[in-house]
Parts: sequence; C-alpha cells; structure tokens
Amino acid sequence: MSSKKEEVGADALLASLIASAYTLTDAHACIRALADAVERSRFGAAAEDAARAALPWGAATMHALAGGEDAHDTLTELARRADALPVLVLYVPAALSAAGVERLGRWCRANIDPSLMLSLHTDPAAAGGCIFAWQDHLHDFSLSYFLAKERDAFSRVLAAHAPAVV
Amino acid sequence: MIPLVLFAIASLAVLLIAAALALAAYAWLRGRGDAALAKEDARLRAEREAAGIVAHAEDEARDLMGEAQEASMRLASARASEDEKAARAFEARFDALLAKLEARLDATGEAIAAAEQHASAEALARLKASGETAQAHLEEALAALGKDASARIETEVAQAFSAARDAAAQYVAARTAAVDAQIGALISETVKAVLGKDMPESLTVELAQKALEEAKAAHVF
Repeated sequence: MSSKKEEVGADALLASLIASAYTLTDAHACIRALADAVERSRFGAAAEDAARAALPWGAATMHALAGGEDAHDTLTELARRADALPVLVLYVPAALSAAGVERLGRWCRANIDPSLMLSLHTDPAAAGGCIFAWQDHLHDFSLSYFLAKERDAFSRVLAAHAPAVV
Repeated sequence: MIPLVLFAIASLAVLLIAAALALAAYAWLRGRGDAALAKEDARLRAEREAAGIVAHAEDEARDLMGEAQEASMRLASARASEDEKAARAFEARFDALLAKLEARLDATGEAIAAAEQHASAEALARLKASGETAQAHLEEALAALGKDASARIETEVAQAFSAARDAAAQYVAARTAAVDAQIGALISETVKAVLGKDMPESLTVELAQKALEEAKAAHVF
C-alpha cells in the first residue's frame, strides 16, 4: 500500500474528522462535502470549488480519493466508523456558536473520551447546566439537580425559620 | 402548660381514687372484722353511703380524666393547625376543668366526712379495736391500689402526650416539606425564566461545562 493510499485511508480520514468536528452533525456534513467534492472533481469543471468544499481534508485528499477506484467504499467506511464513535447526547438550554461547541467538545474529549462526538440538542429544561444521555442513561444536571443537591441545607434553613408548634 | 395541667389533674384524680378506695377498703375491713356489727343499721347505712360515694368518685375521676385527655388532644390539634383562637379557648377550658376538678374533690371530701359522721360510734370503736394488723393490711391494700391506679393513669397520660408529640412532629415535617417544595419550585421557575431569556452564550457554555464536571466528579463517565 502506497503512502498516498494511507493518507486517504479510512483511519486517516477518521482522525482528521475527529480533529475537526465535535458533533455528529458536523462530522456527517464533512463526509458529505468530501463525497460531493470528490464526485465533482471527477468531472473537472469545478475542481477548485470542489477542493474548497472538501474541508477539513483539503484538495490533496480530495484528489487522491478522486484518483482512486475505491473512493465510495472509503467514504462509506468513514461514515460507518464515525457512527461507531462514542456519542454524548447533550441537551443545552440554547443553541451554541461554533466556539461554544468547540469548548464543550474539547472538554469532553479531554475528560471523557478522546474520540467522543457530541449530539447537540436544545431544551429549556436544561437551564442552569445540561442534560445528557451517556451509555443509554439519561442524566439531569440542570438547575433542578443543583437545587436538589442543596435540598438538605435548604430544608435546614426552612426548618430553622418554621414556627414551633409544640 | 399542658404537662403541668395534666399532671395536676392526674395527681388530683389519683388522690380522689385513692381516697375513695381507702373508704371502700375501710368499709370492707370493717364489715369482715365482726359479723355482729353487720346487724347494726348505722354501720350498714354508713357502708352503703360509703359505697355510693366511692362509685360516684370513681365515675367522676374517670370522666375527668377522659375530658382532660380529650382536651389535651384537641389543644395539640388546635395548635398544630395554628388556630390560636381555638387554642386559647381550649386553654380556658383546661383552666375551667381544673377548677371543676378541685371543686368536685372538695365536695367528695365533704361527703366522705359526712359519711364518717353517720357511722355509729360503736362501729368505729370496734374497727379501731381491730388492732395494728388490720391497719397494716389496710395500708398494704391502699398502697397496692394506689400503685395500680397511678401506673394506669401515668400510662394513659404518657400515651396521650406521645400521640400529641407524634402529631406535632408530623405536622412540622409536612409543613417543612411543603414550604420547601413551593419555594424550590418558585426559585427553579424564576431562574429558568431569567436564564432562558437573558443568559449570554458564554454563561450557557460555562454552566454546561460545570454540570459535566459535576457529573464526572459523580463518576457518571
């Protein structure tokens, strides 16, 4: 196997994908863009445009894939491996910018799994924190959780100020 | 105040019952001591009067104890519902009950004294002549009767207070939980409304990250 083939193999593509995309949505958008760029480059007319659309891999990867015979299989394998990555389904109270997504994504990969992908959703119930699903379990770490966490201290304060009846 | 009033009522009731039982024992020993005295009309009359007084005193004491316990429970219930007006009414009823008990005790004492006066001088003389043995039996019987009555009353009073304390504790717990839930829900809804409208994205991300850090600390991951 040549060095060029290794560069455009599914493993290398997946590593690039993980480095540049923090959400499953972005990952699949990148894969679709690459597939589209490869397909368009084969017909030559819009090669430069296709190369710009092939981020995060760039023109070299796009051309390498376009020159090979197994581009479709490679991209299909790439999509399959992307779907097999560990996913944290994360509910936040409002939509986040790319910078916000990147910050949360970096934290998750540094503290949970280096190849983790986020599946982001918005839910007002997640205000004050977040709600997430991890390994088939839903965890509520929103404001409700933090209020409940302080419930004992809260109750002690209330009890101290409640009028005595006996 | 309730424990003192109940204690006073219980003490007076014990004294009343003990006095009545003493008179009963007195009459019983007197009747057993000499069969010849049973033929004397004066003694029989005194015994009947004494028995009637004892029965009446027992009924009075039983009724008063029942009223005291009922009033105690109602007072505790009234305080639990924070009905101060009702509580004051029950306290006034307690005071009246205490005065009523004292009055009845005085009346019973007078009745016993009157019964003793009706007993014939001869019967009294024979009873006194029964000697120290009879006196010892009498004291022993009175002591046993007093202990039984005292233990029973103490048990009843303790049960009444235990029930009142349980009701009060349950009320305090329920009240605390209700207030806790209401205020907690109010705070939660208010914060959610504010955060949902005006919170900058940086704070949203910060809070979400802190929540994830909390989850990691809780070994969720």
